[in-house]
Amino acid sequence: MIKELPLRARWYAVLLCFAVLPGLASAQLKIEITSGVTDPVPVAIVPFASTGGADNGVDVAEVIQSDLEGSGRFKAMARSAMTSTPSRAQDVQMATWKAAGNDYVVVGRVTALGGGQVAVDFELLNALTGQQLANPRFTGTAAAVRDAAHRCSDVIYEKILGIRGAFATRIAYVSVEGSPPAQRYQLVVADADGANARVILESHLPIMSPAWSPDGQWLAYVSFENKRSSIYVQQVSTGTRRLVSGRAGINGAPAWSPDGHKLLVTLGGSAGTPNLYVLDLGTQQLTRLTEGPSIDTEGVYAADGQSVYFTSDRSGGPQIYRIGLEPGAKPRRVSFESAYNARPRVSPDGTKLAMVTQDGANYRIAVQDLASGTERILSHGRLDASPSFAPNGAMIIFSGIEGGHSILQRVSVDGQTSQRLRADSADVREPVWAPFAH
Amino acid sequence: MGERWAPIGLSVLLHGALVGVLVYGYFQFRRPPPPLHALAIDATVVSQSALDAAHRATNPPPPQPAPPAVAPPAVEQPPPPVPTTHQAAAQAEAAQAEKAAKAAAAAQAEAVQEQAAAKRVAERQRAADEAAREAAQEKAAQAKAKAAQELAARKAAVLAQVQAKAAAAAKAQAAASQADLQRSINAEERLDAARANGAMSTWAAQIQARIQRAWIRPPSAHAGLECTLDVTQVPGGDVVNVKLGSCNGDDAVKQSIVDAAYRASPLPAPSDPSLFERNLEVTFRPTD
Repeated sequence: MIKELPLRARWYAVLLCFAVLPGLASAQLKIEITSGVTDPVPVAIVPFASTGGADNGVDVAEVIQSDLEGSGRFKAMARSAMTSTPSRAQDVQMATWKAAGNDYVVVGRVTALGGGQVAVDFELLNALTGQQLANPRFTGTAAAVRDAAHRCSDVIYEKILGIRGAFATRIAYVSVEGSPPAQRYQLVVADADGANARVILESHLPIMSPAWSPDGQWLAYVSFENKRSSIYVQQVSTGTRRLVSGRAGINGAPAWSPDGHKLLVTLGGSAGTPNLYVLDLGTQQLTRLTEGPSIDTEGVYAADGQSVYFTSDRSGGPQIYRIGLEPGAKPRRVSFESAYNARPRVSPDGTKLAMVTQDGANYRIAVQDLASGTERILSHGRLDASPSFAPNGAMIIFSGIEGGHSILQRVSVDGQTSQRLRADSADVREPVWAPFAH
Repeated sequence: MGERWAPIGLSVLLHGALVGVLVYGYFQFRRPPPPLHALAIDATVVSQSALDAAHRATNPPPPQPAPPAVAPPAVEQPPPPVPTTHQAAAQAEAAQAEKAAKAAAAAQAEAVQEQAAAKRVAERQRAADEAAREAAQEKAAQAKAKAAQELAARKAAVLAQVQAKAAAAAKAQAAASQADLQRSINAEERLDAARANGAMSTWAAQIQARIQRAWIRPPSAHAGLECTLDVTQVPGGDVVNVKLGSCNGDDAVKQSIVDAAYRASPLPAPSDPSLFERNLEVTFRPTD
């Protein structure tokens, strides 16, 4: 019948059909989701199988669980609730784990490869969809099993949250034992979770202001070992170090340029007040950055290396300022929220500024969104200090006072989760989070 | 199952019937020639024969070509022979005869010439007649053609008038059917709205709340994110299939959204079981 119709009529017929189709399609119910939750993701990390003591006594699953829960983003299933402990994906009864409330399941094993080498394999499974999301293998010496476990955590974190994990990174901090005059200062490098701590410098006189080089190979710091402040740079793996600034007066607060060729330092001649200088590590050439009678210190490069944030009392109390590196640049105040803002640190992506801010009678860690200028206080201590961003920007490590001791703490940048790292009897202060290892 | 298919079937039938009526009605107008009797047209029905008759009445038939006029032959007869005396002279007779013969010959020749001339004249006359007849025929043909043209023009005018009226009527009808369509769409929308105001919207809100509680937003799920998910549920609310549509988020966001649909399973049931919809189109559009 339709063949008899003129072409135009056939067109109208087609158009009419289309006009009616949406009416039929509306049988589908439309739902709009405008919010979600920041609940931790439920995950089961099944104890890893280990053949012949290949795991070197390290409970890989426990390390992973501690990492993930410590991020505040994951909630791990209690081992006591597990009815089976598969170590391979094909042995996982997905429905069982899903019924137990898990979105994800991690199974794995540590196997000896011979020659002192071990392999850590695991599978990350989505219990909701049944998909396998990852099955990486990390190999190394038996001593590196713990590091491999952190790498497992990094993979899981990134696959589920979309952010690179920073569990297999390191931190440095200063530890102080004893009371004056018999004090012992140590410069310590440890895993990001505080484990594997080792001392790379020890002194009876203060050690201060450690700073990681952008490649994570070197630490710059201030040492009073010569009875006055001096700035050193030290290769972490070898212990090789050299004095880079031992000028008269103050030598303080070193910070690396993003290219690793320069150090931003605070220098104050015996007669003058401290100002910021740029020290070229290759040529030893010194360039003055700030002028004036005010105290300018704690400088740090912006993420693009084109400007510097620093603390200055030029307006009275300490506040954060920013100054360009071009000659004749004028500082511009950045912090306004409180009468006291100091110790600026820039997030790895350059969008946020962490600082110590006065909050009533307390000093706390705040983060300012650089684009909007809005500030948010993240910590809840009385005397919190020395914020430092994790290389993925998700957390900030800082020091705080607890029980009369200075301890290390971490807080997520959204303020949702915080925890203390295990503390020794010593005071631990000035933590700095290392960049990603390249 | 039957409860769920009944409204769907009814809806399909209703739509189908509507489309059928519209399409059929529309094509009725489009089918040439227009059935004039079916239209409300203020026009006289004019047939071809009536037109011809009217034409004949007002215009005399074209003149028939006149038969060619036959001209009388203009051929002169040879003069009768002159009688001669027998004795007088045989020679004279002979001479006479010869003379006569000559004369006869001459006359004959003359006659032949005259005949030829006459023939030429006749032919000329015939040609002239022919031309006249042809001219007359042509004139008649021209007249006829002119008449035909006039007739055609008149017919065309009448036809155009009829067609214009038909087109106007068809247009009016089309507009009317478009209005009908719009009215039925509006009615459908009002029905939808009525439903949405009732149990349907309550159910949708319950599903929304459940999925929002189940969506663990990864840090990269910023405002500006927009992802669609086709979720299939079975009666009882169990989510049996989830298909990600367009999504401007990263892999973690995509995964969290699919996970949310499964985590939300089983979805709440509608208070009125007949409202149950198997397919949900879930749009994730965080506002903060």
